[in-house]
Formats: sequence, structure tokens, C-alpha cells
Amino acid sequence: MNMNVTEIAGGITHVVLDGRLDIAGAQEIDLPFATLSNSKDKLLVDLAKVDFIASMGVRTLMFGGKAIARKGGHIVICSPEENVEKVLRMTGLDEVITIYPDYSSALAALSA
Amino acid sequence: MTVAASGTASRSFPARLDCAAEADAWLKQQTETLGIDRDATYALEVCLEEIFANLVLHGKASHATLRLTRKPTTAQLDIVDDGLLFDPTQAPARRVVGPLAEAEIGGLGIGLIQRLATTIAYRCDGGHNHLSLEFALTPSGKEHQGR
Repeated sequence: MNMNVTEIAGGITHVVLDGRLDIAGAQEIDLPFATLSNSKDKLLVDLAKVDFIASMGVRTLMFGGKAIARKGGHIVICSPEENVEKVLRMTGLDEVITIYPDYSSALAALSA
Repeated sequence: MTVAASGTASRSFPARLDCAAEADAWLKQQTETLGIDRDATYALEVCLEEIFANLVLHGKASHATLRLTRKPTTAQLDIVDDGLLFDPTQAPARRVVGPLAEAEIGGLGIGLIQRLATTIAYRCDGGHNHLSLEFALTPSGKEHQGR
């Protein structure tokens, strides 16, 4: 599981996750994702390259999202593959973190 | 491991988190061999991971035996483990409840199993958990193409 971070205009941090967000994948990025979430206010989490997620991966996203929400920040998700999005919606994550179909719409929402 | 002509494969795994990936790799290989479609395979993989995590982290099992059966319109995954008795059909199917800053984390796996599997059956036999999950197969020609 890889995590690539890019700072973009407007204080937005673009996080591209790449690989499987399964038990092993979640364990790999738990700490760096939590550290990032604690230090940033606007996070755009790009799941285009994530081909699998289960509840451990959702848990990782939740931990980061909670850290940002607690300090009044904003987090969005973009570009999940169809089955990944299905799992996110089944857990109800989409009710607390907005999921956008693509990078552009997610960026526009965070920039507003 | 055994693979029968009837469309069934089975294998036992140590109940350790570091064996979850090995169990998943076995499952994926069997879904290809048995001709199980992509969406059903995805649902099988998610449910296997949730069950494996539960029986390792909460059930204190020492091993789990998986059996995958291809039927005409469904795929069936049976899991037998020697951990603490636990009936997931009776557990609450939790979802995330907002606001985000106060949302509880955890307990989402059972909900995923209950929503992804078309039928779930549980029995305790000989002090072992026997869980049977069934998944609908996508009719031929309607498979999800992915990206």
C-alpha cells in the first residue's frame, strides 16, 4: 500500500492511496495517514488506485477524518472504483465524508 | 488443498492476521478456477477478510478451514473455526453515524457481511463455529467491466 502526498493551491493536500486497503494495507498506512490528518486542514483522499477495501480500510479513513473534523477541517474522497464505493456506502462512510466521482469535482468542493 | 470436479475447493489456514493475505490469495485463485465473476469475488473477499479478522482478533481461534463451492447461480463460502463461539447472524449490523468528529469507529465488518451475502447461516457443531455465506453470481453477459 502506497501513500503519495502532494500540496496543492488553497491549502489543500492531495493524498493518493495506491493498492489494497485490506488488513495489511491499512496497517501500513495507519500511522502516516493519521499523522497527515493531524497536521492538515483540507484533505482530498484519492482512491482511484485502490482496488480493494474492507472495514479495516474504512477504519483508517475514519480515524483520519475524525482528526480533521475535530479541528474544524474538511476531508473528501474522490474516484473510488465501483466495488470500493459500494463498500464505503454500505458502511455509511459516505454520510460523514462526501464521495465525489472524480478529482475535479472534489477539488472544486474543497476550494469553495 | 483439495479441488473436486463438482466445483468445490477447501483449505485450512492458521488463524493469524499475517495469514489473511494468504487466505485471500487462495480464495481468488479458486474463484478463477471455478469461474466466479468479479463482483461476487469482490464480495467473497470482503467477507473473508471480515470473518478472518474477527476470528483472529476476537475469537482467539487457532485455525480456520475454508470451503468454496460454485453452484449454478451462487457461490458458497463455508468457514469452520475453533475460536470462541460467535453467531454473526445475531450481531448488530452497525453503520457509521455522524457527525464525523464524534462517529464511533469499529464494528462495521458484521454489517458488511450481512449486506454483501445473500444468505448467512450459522451453527455450532462440536464446539466449532460453522458459518455458511452465499453470494449471487452475476448472470453471464452482465459482468461488471471495471476500469
